[in-house]
Amino acid sequence: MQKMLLEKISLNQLFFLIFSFELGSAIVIGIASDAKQDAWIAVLMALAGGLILVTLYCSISKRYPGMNLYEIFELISNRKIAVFFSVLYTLYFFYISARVLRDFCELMKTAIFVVTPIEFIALIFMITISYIVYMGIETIGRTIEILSPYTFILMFFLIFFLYVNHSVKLQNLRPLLPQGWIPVIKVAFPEVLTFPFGEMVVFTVIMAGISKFKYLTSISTVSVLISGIALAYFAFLKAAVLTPTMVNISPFPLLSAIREISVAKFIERLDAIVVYMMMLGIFVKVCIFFLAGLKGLEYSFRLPYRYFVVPFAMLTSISSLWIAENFTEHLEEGIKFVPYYIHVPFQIVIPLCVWMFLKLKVKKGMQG
Amino acid sequence: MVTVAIVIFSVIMMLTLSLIDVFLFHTPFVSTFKKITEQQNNQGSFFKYLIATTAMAWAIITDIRLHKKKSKS
Repeated sequence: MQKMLLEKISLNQLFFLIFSFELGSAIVIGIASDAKQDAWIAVLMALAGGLILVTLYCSISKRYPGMNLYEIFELISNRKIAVFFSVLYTLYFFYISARVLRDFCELMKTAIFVVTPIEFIALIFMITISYIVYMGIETIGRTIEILSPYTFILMFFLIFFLYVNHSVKLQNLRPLLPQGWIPVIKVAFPEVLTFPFGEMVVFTVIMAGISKFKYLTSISTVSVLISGIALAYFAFLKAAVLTPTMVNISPFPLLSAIREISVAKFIERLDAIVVYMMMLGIFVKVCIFFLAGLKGLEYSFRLPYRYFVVPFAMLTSISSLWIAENFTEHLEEGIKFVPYYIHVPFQIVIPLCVWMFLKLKVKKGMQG
Repeated sequence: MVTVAIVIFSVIMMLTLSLIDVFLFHTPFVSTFKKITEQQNNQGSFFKYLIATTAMAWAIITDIRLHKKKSKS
């Protein structure tokens, strides 16, 4: 086996990575829209569950610092079983990166490049991703550390302009919980819990490169908490600006909400700012999922992941087109199938089993 | 090894995506698989061919390079 490079990311970089990752495509397509005006409550409820999941992932990673999920599989079983699960997770990570890429391509096609073939957008985006992934996790971390503060500033400006424009109408959020808690709970679990909070499972592969393991749980939890509150607030704003019915109809609700801004008929068409925010989030998300998938290949085939970057970048870009014929089909798959049959086993069932096996192993070790 | 990996994962990915469609939309497997693999006659098809060819060519070249490296050492 060729020597693998050991790459480290700082806690600052981890914080921004998680923040951008969580906002990622969730901010693009909007989450919990089925809960209508109570979407923000559903997001906050899912956030509570998400924090438990993040603690679970951190405790798995902290048990053996420097080891990623694939290596932990081998630790609790044997190489054959570990390779089997690694291949499953690799497929899962590539599939999700293809789904996120499709979100981005549809956004670009709708908002900016109306006549450009979607295949071309996917190809160009994946070329950029493959370059940054080839450079390694350190480069991804540094890039996000530089670009994320702009997201914070732009987010603040957007919210400010929405209020100045008197677009936020609180009466759109009434009545609160018209059908009680049950519909909101149904939306929160597992739909919002798994997307975007449960997707943090991918960090069990990335967390192996953290410089200070001691602060891993606190940094991850704080970052998820802040991004969850931001998501809930955006869900609140979207419903307040557009009305819950419009949020359900619009493919990109945040984009539609921002288009409402017209301050003194001078500050208008702020779509570009939203597209920037969305692009950065999706960029991080695709990068992380793609890198995690490649790390799985590295483990399974015992070759440095950089050999696989270009062919698998091409596979991901073409998979994003195979996923669905149109955007409606893509969204339907994402709501009806993915959370229940793909996210739950990979984000909750398997990590929970791994955590229990690790506990048993420690107990046995202590008894021995 | 890279060629083997890309072929295996492409096939598994195609099968998985077809099965998801079969499960979700209750369409026959063969027609779903065909829908995924066949090319529409539009400008995007060119890029699909380009992407597929680049992936395979890159994988084969990488494997040749790896083989040469191995035989040298």
